[in-house]
Amino acid sequence: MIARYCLALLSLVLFSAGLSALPLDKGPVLIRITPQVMEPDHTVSWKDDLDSKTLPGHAVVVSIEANHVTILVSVTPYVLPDGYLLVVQGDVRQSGPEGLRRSSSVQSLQVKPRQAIVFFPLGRADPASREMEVLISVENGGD
Amino acid sequence: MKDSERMIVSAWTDGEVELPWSSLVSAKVEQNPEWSETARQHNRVKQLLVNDGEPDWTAAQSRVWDHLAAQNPVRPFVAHLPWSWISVAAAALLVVAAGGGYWFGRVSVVKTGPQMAELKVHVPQQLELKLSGDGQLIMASTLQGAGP
Repeated sequence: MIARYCLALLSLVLFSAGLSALPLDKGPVLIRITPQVMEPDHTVSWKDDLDSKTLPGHAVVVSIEANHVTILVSVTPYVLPDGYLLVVQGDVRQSGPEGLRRSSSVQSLQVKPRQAIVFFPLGRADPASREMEVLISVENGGD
Repeated sequence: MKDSERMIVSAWTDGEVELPWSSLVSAKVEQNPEWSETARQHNRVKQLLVNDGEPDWTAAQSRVWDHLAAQNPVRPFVAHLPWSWISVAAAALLVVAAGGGYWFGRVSVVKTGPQMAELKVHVPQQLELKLSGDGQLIMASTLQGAGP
């Protein structure tokens, strides 16, 4: 009878230890997101620096409101042995005389800590047009 | 006494016989001892049904429970365990519960804290932007290498 209770207690302890070993418990990561508007002459006409801590597997969402355009950028980090896998989702809604246009995309890149990637949520315009760029990097967020 | 006569007496006892027949039956009951006895029996049964209701089973239930308790004494399971073991088990459960609470609470705080709220920024109105195609994700080093 006693052995049965000891076994039950041991199972509970092991269960708790198993939960702690999940990737979610690897600690927070810091995601730096910088949306900016790039002019055709490569000057930056507007930018905003955003930092956000999150857990691996949990997304950070940035909503960028512009004139007639709403951009949602979702960045989800996953921890790899030698860096991170960043899954970036873009959802764009543009309203105008032609009605509502919408574009969605999901892409991923494997990066090293603090290695920057660039997301073009509106696509790559021709060189004579203004562009929206979102610079993204990820690093250890500490405890 | 015929069965039909018994039925008449029963109906008269229940007040189901109307005038002028009820007065005739009433006179017959007063005069005939057999009809009188039949009416008395019906009235007795009627009174039992109306007044007595369900018998009081409390005493019988008590006796049955006492009998069962004497044959199979019920003892709480905890009474078999020494107090030291109960204390150890309670402490272990407390540790597990506290650990679980800390783990879930930690995840919850990071997940729902202010830093996880949707970040909102506004581009100045004069900067017109338009959708040119599907989103593209590239390494920043590639972009810098392709620059002018």
